[in-house]
Amino acid sequence: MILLKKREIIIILIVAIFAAIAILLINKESPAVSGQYVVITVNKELYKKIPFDNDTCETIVVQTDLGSNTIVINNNSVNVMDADCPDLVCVNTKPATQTGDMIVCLPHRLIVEITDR
Amino acid sequence: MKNTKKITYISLLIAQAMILNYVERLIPFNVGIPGAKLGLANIITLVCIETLNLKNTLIVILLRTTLSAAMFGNVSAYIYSVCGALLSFAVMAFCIKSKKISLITISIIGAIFHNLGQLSAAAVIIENYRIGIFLPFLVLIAIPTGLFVGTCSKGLLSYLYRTDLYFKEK
Repeated sequence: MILLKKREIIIILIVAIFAAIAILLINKESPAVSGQYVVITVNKELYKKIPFDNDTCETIVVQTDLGSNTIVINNNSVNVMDADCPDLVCVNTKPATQTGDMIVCLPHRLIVEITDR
Repeated sequence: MKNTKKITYISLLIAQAMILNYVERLIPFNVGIPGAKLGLANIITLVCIETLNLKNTLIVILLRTTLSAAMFGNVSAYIYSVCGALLSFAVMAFCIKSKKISLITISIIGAIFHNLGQLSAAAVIIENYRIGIFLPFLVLIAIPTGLFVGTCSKGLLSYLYRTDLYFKEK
């Protein structure tokens, strides 16, 4: 039983390499800029915008009709510590630390992202 | 008689897909990327696409996503999964017509497009197109999961063909 043809393996490998390159480009360390913000969006609407720097220390509980998420900002990172969504993807996402990083909770339509605007 | 057998076969596939969807929830596979999952229910979609015609495959897909969402899911997750499932079905149906692509590659392509459909639906719903940055991660995860699902379907089909439990429409 031949599972895969050689040509198919090559195409799959090329796609994998492209995806890996894209991931490396996304994860590239961006220079630390001042004036960063943590922007929390719930269901398309801005929920909260907080200046983000070395000594921001805050715990935010986002409570909406769709559910609740607990966001903790400290030690230069933003992390979703707790949520009552079924998949807990947001809790398992690695903490956001630099501009462009984002944490998404699709069931609760919640986005936490770090921006420089 | 033939029609009864067909209806029974289709309902069995839907029931199996729902159980696979449930079993998948019990397996801890959480990498912190929205939309990343094993996609075990795709085993059934691949079996359908190999044995049934496109209309009946579409029926199986729509019913399995709707019933799974009604039993174990929530509404927003349902919209994402239907968009993913439909896009993935459209692309896989196109691939199976060409008859040159092996089932495992079709499975990987289906997994990639499932993620693409799901992420696009999410981007439209939450109106944030920057969640597209998760796409490369999802593509990279779709390759091993698609490989696993494709291999399972291939094995399942080879056993199924040795029995008279399947219904071949093509």
